[in-house]
Amino acid sequence: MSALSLADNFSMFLQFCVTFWLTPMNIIYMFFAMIIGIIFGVLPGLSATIAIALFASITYAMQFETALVVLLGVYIGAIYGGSVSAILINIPGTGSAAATCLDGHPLALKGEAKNANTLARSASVIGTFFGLIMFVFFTPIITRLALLFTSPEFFWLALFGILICGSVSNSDVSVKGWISGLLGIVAALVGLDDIQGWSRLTFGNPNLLTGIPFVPMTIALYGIPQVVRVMKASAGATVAIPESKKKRLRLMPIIKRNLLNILKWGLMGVGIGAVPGVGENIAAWVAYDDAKKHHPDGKDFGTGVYEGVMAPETANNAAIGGAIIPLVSLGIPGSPPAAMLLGAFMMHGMKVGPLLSMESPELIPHIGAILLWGTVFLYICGILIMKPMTSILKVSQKVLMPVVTVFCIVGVYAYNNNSFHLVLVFVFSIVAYLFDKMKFSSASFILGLILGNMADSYFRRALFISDGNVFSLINRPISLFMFLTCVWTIAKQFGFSPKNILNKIKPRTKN
Amino acid sequence: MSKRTPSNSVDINYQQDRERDLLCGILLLIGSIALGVYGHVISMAAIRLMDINYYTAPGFFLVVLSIGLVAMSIYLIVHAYTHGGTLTWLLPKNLIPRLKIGGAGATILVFFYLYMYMVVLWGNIPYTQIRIPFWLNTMLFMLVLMFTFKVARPRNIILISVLTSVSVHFVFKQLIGVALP
Repeated sequence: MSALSLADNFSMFLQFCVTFWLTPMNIIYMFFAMIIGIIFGVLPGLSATIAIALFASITYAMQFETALVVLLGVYIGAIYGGSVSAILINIPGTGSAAATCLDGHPLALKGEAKNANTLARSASVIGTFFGLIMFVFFTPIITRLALLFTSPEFFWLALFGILICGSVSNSDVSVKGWISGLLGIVAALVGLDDIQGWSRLTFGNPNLLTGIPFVPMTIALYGIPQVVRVMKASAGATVAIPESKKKRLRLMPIIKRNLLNILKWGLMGVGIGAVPGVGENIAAWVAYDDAKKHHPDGKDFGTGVYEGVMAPETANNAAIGGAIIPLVSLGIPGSPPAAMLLGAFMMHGMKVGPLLSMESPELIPHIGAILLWGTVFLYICGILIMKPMTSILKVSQKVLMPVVTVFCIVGVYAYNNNSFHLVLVFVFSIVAYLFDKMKFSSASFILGLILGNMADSYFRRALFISDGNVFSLINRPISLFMFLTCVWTIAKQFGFSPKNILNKIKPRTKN
Repeated sequence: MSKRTPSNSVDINYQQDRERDLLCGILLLIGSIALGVYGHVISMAAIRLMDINYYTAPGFFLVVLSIGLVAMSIYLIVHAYTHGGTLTWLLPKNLIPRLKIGGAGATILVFFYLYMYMVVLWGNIPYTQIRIPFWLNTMLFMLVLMFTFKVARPRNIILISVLTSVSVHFVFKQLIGVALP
């Protein structure tokens, strides 16, 4: 059992690229998965996260390789799909397309809907391709780094993931994001503990001995509250979908003049996508903000500037590759949809963590090959589905949501044929609804649920090995660095940055 | 610390957020303390039964988590209180109008329908031997939900409900092989 070298990774990647086409079922699955993913992405109220959670249950009976093709196809399609409704009706189909509305819809109103969609599609293809390159290149490096980690480092890594996710994903008070994360950890501890097999928080219920299952919880947190929101909302006026009038866009000159920018937006997407629990939404906004600041016509952003569509779409699709990097190398998902992928990995018996790519070294090049062909299918399916999408967008969310909800609920049951999971989903959907009302972050909760057992077992293992010496958690350079990073993340949220401290000291030194 | 009164640009949403935070903080504080006590109790029980250190006991991490949650809930309470949060909104005369505006009725109705579909009518009805077929349960759920909120014309609602029940049955039972109730 050993990691592959870069050369071996690359040659296996090429091999998988070829074998993908030698398996006709892969092509069929990828095609339909992409179409379904785009539909999920286009329809407001649905999202990549719900799509992957639903298909994680549906693909349970499939071979892992086939399930990967379907799930990644759905993921890529859904992230792109959000831009279609963002451009046509000014409602982002997914959170990652919110920034695309700002210039995408004004372009549509000027009669350039087709051009805007072409631009969004091309930017998504470029972004996905960039993300896959980064994934294939960086994942083995990070995996090798992770093999240097011992129990304290993994504990701090889990805690850091929750802190950073809580800080970024909560727009209200950061502490609420951290509270969600810690509550997620508490939920993860339900059941028998990994070290002594002691039952915790089961309250005598034998159904809870195996813990709270992850995939049903994602449906509880993301899927069910959505149906409540949609059914409560007033119908609203029907938005007319603008017709495309202007002539075809010349894409190559736009790409040529933005080559360096595309590289920058792609790097932003990958970097932000790799931050645990954050993902495509923030990546899109950061890239849009950057484009607006540095573009010569920055003041025209919001009126229909091409770069205003390119930047967020490049970044949000690049974030797909970014989000899968920590998933495969560390077992920590970079975004909520990547968290669903993690659930799918677990359902197929893969032991997620740094040893994943050691035990299954072909996984990295295999995922890379699927992402590459996913990029190609994205372009093809994006063109094919454009006209039908304008019809589907006219269907009311209030009609679609009950249908999707039924599929989600049955998907939960299909996970383990256990009706107790439905009770859990019902209870947690109420919790998720209250979370939403109180502005607590569901993303942090899910991340806590994923990382909770890891945090608990590595924490206790570290103390067990050192015979209860708490300083063993920070006596290695890496663990000390990670501890200080966690402290800095907390301190920054309360305004204790070095800049602020220096500003406070300066007036005193002058006197 | 900021003044206790909300800002001059009266932001009702901000005020309501702080009021909810105050309630949430108090409930969380109670829950966190309970969690810590629970963690300590199971740790002591484990130590008595097995020859282990307190730091490796199964409840220790729960105690650590509860300390973190207590600290954060105190911060939340203080932050909410100093930014205008109160508990007077919980009085019936204030709470009922707010729930009406917030659409609490619709929320409770949707959750009730979900409860009936997922818990009561799924498989055997609890404490009875009465079994509702899955397709009927699904159809009932969709009909009731869509008719309550008048999402489409009655004919279309019936058609969508029937199609959904059939397609769910086909996809999950026939294609995937799930043993639906």
